[in-house]
This record gives sequence, C-alpha cells and structure tokens, in this order.
Amino acid sequence: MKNLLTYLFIVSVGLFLFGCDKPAPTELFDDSQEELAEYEILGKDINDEFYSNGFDTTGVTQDLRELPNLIALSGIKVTYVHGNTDEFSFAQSIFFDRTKKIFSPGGRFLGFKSVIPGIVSFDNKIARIVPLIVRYRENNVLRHDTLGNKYILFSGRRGDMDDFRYRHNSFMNFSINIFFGEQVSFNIPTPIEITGNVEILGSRNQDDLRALLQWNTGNTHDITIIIGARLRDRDIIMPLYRVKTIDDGSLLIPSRFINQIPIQHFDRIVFTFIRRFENTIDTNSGDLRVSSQSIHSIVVNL
Amino acid sequence: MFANVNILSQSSFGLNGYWGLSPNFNTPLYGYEGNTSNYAHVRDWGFSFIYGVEFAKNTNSNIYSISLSKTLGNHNLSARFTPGYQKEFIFNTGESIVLEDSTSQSLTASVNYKELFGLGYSYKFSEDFSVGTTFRFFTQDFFQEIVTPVFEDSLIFFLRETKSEKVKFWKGDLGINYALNENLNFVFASINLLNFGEKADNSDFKDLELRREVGGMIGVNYLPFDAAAINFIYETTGSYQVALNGYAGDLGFGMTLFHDKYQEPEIAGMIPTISYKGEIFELFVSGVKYFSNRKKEFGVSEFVENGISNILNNPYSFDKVLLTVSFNINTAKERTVKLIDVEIVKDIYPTFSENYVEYPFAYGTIVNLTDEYITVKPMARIEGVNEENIQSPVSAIAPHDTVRVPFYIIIPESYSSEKVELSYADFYLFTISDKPDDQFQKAVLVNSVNSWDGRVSNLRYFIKKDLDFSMSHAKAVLSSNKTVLDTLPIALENFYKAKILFNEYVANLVYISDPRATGEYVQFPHQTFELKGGDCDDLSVGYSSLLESVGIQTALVDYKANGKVRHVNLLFNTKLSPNQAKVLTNNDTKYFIRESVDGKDEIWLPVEVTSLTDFETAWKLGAEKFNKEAISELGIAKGKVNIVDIY
Repeated sequence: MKNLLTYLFIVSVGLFLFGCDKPAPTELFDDSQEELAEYEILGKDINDEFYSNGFDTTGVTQDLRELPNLIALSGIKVTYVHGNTDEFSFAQSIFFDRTKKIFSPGGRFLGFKSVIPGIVSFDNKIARIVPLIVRYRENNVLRHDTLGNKYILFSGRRGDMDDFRYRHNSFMNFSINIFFGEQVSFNIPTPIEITGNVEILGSRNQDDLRALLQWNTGNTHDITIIIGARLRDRDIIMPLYRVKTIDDGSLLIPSRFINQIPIQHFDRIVFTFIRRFENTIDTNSGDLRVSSQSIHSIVVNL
Repeated sequence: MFANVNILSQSSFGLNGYWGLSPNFNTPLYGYEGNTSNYAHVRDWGFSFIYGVEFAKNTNSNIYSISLSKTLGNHNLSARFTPGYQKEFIFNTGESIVLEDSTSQSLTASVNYKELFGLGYSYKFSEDFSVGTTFRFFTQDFFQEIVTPVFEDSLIFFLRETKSEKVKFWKGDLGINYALNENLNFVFASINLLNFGEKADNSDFKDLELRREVGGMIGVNYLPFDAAAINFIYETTGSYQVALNGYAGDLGFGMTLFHDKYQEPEIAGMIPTISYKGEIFELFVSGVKYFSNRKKEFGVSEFVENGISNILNNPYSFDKVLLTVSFNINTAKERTVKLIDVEIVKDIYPTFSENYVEYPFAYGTIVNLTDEYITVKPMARIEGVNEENIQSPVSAIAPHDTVRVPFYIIIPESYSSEKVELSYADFYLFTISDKPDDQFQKAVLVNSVNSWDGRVSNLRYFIKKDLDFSMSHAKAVLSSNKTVLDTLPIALENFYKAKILFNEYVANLVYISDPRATGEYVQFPHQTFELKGGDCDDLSVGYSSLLESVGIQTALVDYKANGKVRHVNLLFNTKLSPNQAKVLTNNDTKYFIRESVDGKDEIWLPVEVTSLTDFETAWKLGAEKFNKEAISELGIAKGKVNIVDIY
C-alpha cells in the first residue's frame, strides 16, 4: 500500500507537471453563405483626384495604371438625395499600349498610353472616340492629362448623346474592325438589374452610425459596393472603400466604416451597388477584361 | 452573424459517466454535472483529479479537474478547479481586407468558454434525504480582428485591431436527493437556476455568450441487486443519459449512453468505465467515445446554426480517455459502532462497592455499523465518583447486529460522600483507537455512603467496610477479658466471646430510629459507637461486624415486613456441634442447627440486638422471635424470613 501510494504520488506530480496542455481549439472553416464582406481602400489620398479617376457613374474604379484592356457595358441608375432617380446607359472600351508609359511632369506614373486599334461597335452602334483623361494633383495643382483615347457610347438624362440602350439580363454585342485586320465580334451577357436601398442607422454623436444596405438578389455570386463620399469643396466623388459581398440582399456596414468619414471633408456619401459579369481573356495584346454591370448609386447626406 | 448560436452551460454530462448516487464509489460524485446537490460519501477529506487525453487532430493531454471535499458531521463542503473544462473556437469573422499587394486576408475571431472553478455544499438531513447546492464560475473570452478606416489628414488607411472582451459569471443550482428505499433513489436538480455576473457589452459578442436557459433534471437510480444499478437522468432541455453500473468486490463497471439533442445520432456516444476501490483511493479509467466523426472539418455556418450545448460535450468534442484518481483521507476515525441507548438498572450505593463489581449498573444497546465482526470495549465513568473510565468486559458484535452489553463500575474505597447527589454517568464504546467510537451520557443517582436500598443482604457491605474498626474494638474488649476467656474450654470460645462483646456493645447504646424520613440509612459500626445508638439494622450491623472481626461467623435474619415493621437481627455460629448443645442450654428452642459449607452441623444462636439489656436476654428474645416467625410460622419456608450470611 505504501509503495502504491508513493507511486500514485509520483504519477500525480508528473501529471501536474506535464499534463497542462490546453484542450485543442476547433478551427471552423469558412463555409458561410452570408455576411461575407471584403473591404478595400480605394481613395488613399482624398486630396489627390487621381484616386477618383474612373469613379464616375460607370462603376469603373480600377487604378488606371493597372487596368487591362477593357470592354465595359453599364446600366446605371443614380438616386439623389431628394429621391429622384436618373438612368444611364454607358459602354466603353479602352486599349493600352503596354510599351508606352506616361508620366506626369513631376515623374509620377499615370498609366499606359491608350490606343485606337480599329472601329468599335456595341450592338452595332459605332462607338465614339473620346480622350482618356487622367486627373491628379501635383504640387498642389489640379492637372488633367490625356493618356490617349477610348471608345464610348452614352445615353441618359442629359440627352441621348448616342443611340444606345443598355439591356439588363440579356446579351449585348461587341465588335471591333481592326485597322488592316480582321473583325472580332462576340456577345456579352448582362446581369439582372440591381436596385439598392440605404438605411442609415444610429447617430454620429453616439458613435454608432451604420448603414444597412439592401438590394434585390440576382444571378451573381457576389456584388460590389463602392462607398464614396463627396468632397465638400471640390464637388468630386471620392471612392473610399470597395466592399465585396455575397449577393444575398443585405449588408450592414459597421459604424467604424461610416462614423470615421470626416464630415469636415465630406458632405455626402454615395453607395454604389454593382452587380457585374466579368471575364478576363488572355489575348495577344495582353489581358482583355470584358465586363457588364448593373449599377445603382444612392446619394445620402452624411 | 452569430444570432443563432446556442451554447448552454454544463448540465449532467460527466467525464466518468453517470453513476447516480454511486453507493460503492465516491469518485463520480466529484462531478457537479451529474451531482448538482454535492452529495458525497466522503467521511472526512476527499481529493480527486481527472487527467485525460483528448484525441483531437493533435492528441493532447490535460488535467480536467482537481477536486477537494470535506465532510463535517452532516455537512459537506467541496471545491474544484477545472482547468480542462474549456472549449475554444477559431473562425473567420466573415470580413476580409484587400492589402496593398491586392491579396486578400481574412479577419479571424475566437471565443473560449471556460469553467474555471466551483464550490459545493450539502447537508444530509438523514441517510435518505439530503439537499445541496453547487456554484460554478465561468469565463468567456471573445476576440475579434477588425479593420477600422482611419482618415489622417488627407490620407485613408486601414488600421487592423483586435477587439476583445472577457465576460465572467457564476451560475448556481440546487439539488435534492431522496432514497425511497435501499434500492431506489431519486435526484432532482435545477439547471441554471441562479445566474449572476457580467454580460457582454460588445454587441458583436452578445450572441456568442453561453446560453443559460433555466431547466431541471430528474435522476432515478435503481439497484435491483447489490451488484448492479440502473441509472437514468433526464434534462428538461431534452438530453438524457442511461447508465448500467456493476459492482464486483472492489471493482466497478459502468456503461453510460448519452443523448444530446444538439448531437447526432440519437445516442451521441458512450462512456465505458472501469473502476477499482482500494482502502483509501479509487481509480477510474473511462473513455468518451462519440458515434459521429469528430475529425471532419466543421464549418462556421453549422456552428452558427446549431451552436454547442455543453462545454465538455458538444458536436465538436473529441474522443477522450481519462484517468481519475480519488483519495479518501480520514483523519477522523470512522465510526463503527453506535450506542443507541443506555439503561441504568441500579442507583449507586457507594457502600455496595463489591456488588457493582459483580453486577452491572447499566446496560447499553449497541449496533455494529460495519460489515465485519467488531470487538467493542465498553467503559463507563460516574462524575464525582470515578476519575478514570472503568472498563467492562469486551463484546464481539456481528456485522450490523444489535446487542445489549453490560457496564460495570468500581466505587473507590476512598469515596465517602455523605450526601445524595444526582450525577451523570458517561458511557463510552471503544473499538480500535484510544478515541471512543461513540459515547452516551445519562443521569444517575449517587447515594451517600450510609444509604441502603433496604435489602438486608446488602447490609453485609456496611459490616465488611468497617471491619478494621470492629476488629480493633473487639480485640480491645476481649483482651480486657483475657483472664476469663483463658479459663474456658476452647469449644465455648465463640459463645463467650460473643457474650462478652455483646454485653460490652450494648452497655452504652440506646435504640434510635432511623433519622431519615425517606429511604434507608445505615450506620457503620464506628458511627453507632460514636452516636451511642441506632435502629435494628445499625445495631445488628455493628454487632455482626464485631463478631466477624474476631472470626465468629454471623448471619442477618431478615424478618420481612408483611404489613408490619420490617426487622433485622442476627444469628452467630458457636461452632458447637449439636451434641455439645447441652453445654449452652437444655432448651432446644434457643438454638438452631445449620449445616456448614463443609457439611457439618453447627449450632447457631439468634440474638435480638435491640434488646440492649444483656446477652442472655437478647439471646432469649432472639430465639423466641426466630422460633416463632421462622420456625413455627414457617417463615423461612414461606420466604417471610430470610437468613443472610455475611460471607
């Protein structure tokens, strides 16, 4: 008995000394079909209009420096503060010469030179060629430079500039007759129209200003929401964040994303819902991104 | 995101399975889960720990609990430290950020539920009914990575932060145990009855808190045989356990099947157990085996949708093997016998000291509480009479038998109180150690040294006790009559000694009635001399003592009352044979023949000491009374006259 007790004592001490693991945690893999949200900062410097390039009503917010050749079709709605909604159709195509970089006078890389390789048509409507302008601020001076030209078709509230209509949940034709070359033509599918709604919750004073975003679900896995804000003094919409989330119809933007927006710089927030079909094709002239999107921008007072 | 998480605090699932009130083992009772009422078999100190190996993706070992239990009479206190009672989950928050290099990084969160320690108390109202409570302390550690956009001057960037909160709370429950009989008992207990402490302040964590739904549980423990038990416990939350336990000597076997409404399949798992009971320790080797695959990948959505119901036992718990060691440390000796009652059969007459050596003054009713034969050493002590315990003969008692054992007492020679006192006697039972197993106290009347119970046979103690005085006195008297005695034939020596002593004895005495209003009072011979008188018993005692001190055999004659005043006088042995009677008298009614122990007939003379005249008169009166009441009226034959030999 005495020996047994001694043995038990030794075992007990041993267990205390060496048996102090922590029970294994359970790691859960991410299979949630809800509430996924990927946040990205877009406007890294609100004083630099460079970051607002492309953030117009087209939903194109990519950094022009990294933008591949692009074919984009957009069906756009803009709901203003007072509740009025305008609709637009927009198509554009940009082709870059990746061998030619364009720099600002101060040496800043602005992007590649854009080129016009042929005649572009959307739904058999020949696109216009317009300058591809880049805005930026250098030495505290707002500058506009041209990277080259691009193709566009546009119609909307301010008059039907082009006989072009974006069709939701359909197919639209793109074709290009390359100068001294062949014609390329293909159909681009378009997603279901998106219609969003923004409900501002809480209050800034209580540090819980949030935004409940709701939209109709569609035929895409996810949607993108661009949260931008209008600069008080420059009437420029500055994209702040890109939020990619599941196309499940709602997303609560936490207060830390809304409450932090400084009202001394911004007076309105723009929530832009984008449901997009997008495909990138590897071509001889570099990647070609083909996208079609339904866009609904909602402007609310901050 | 976590609005549906359903996490409950601990309920009845225990790592050693469910053993009900576990009549043969104490180890399972350290688990507050199935023993909310803190029921315990520990007689003094108990200590237990559970060490286990968990077969997660990476096998790990851990001390699950360390428990301490202390029994104080009907109270039991317990405490346990439960470092292994914890469950941690790590998962993505659902948010991710795109970094400068365009890569995406998910933000993570974790929640760690812990039961840190607990306290228990119970009170046994009887062997059949006890009530208890347990309180357990929990913590919940929440961590969540978040990104916050920061607008600094004109720049915007993400700041990655960790949001955390620690939430502590107590939960308390009550339990009742009731044994209907030896084979069937019931356990009733609450689940999450009392809850107090903190709640999560952060809205993101509120839905992840341990749920504390109030419920109840009822357990039924049925022992159809000594060697087997069937236990069932049902929780109002819908979970239950069924256990079959077997006992074979020092070994025990258990198999618990448990159903948890939050787990699949219907019987979610089993807990087989083998146990061994040593003299002071118990060993349990048990396993927790789940019937569903525990090593598969679990998704966040399932966790969010179903949650867990128990920190130890939930869909994410892993199989385990556990070793439980318990020690029962008895610093206080275990009571093996119980003194149920004591009956005082005699009041204490200090002068009857020899009587108490021969006959017990009390009897105790003792029960053997053990399963073994046990030898009991009874002892007693009367306050004011004895300074030490007086041991009575040891008794062997069969297992669980009840016996009646005698208690003897010794009256010290030195005891001389002339007051009647109501004292008390302490009765002790000793088995092995020098500390009594049980004791009992009872009031006892201690009479004065002169008290007499009225039984003539007990007058002998007054005669014997003062023999030294009588011898001294008698020798002095006889020495002064040496001349006369030397001239007498040896055969008449006793007669004349008796005569001389009587005449000298009564010369200065008068008859005095007993001074006590109630009860009997008997003087010792020296007191009779000092007081110069006494009643019949005093005078007879005194004269008998004088004769006995010089070797003359005496006997007291008890003339019983029979409606009249009771009377005592005496006979003494002349040692003369019937043939020699003529040397004393020709009247054969004045002497009586009694057979000695060696078969000889000897002449005895009756003496009425109260005559207080002279020997011849006293002899004559004594003979007449004896002849009339003892012989003629057949007093001896009818029992109305009794002759009591002093030795």
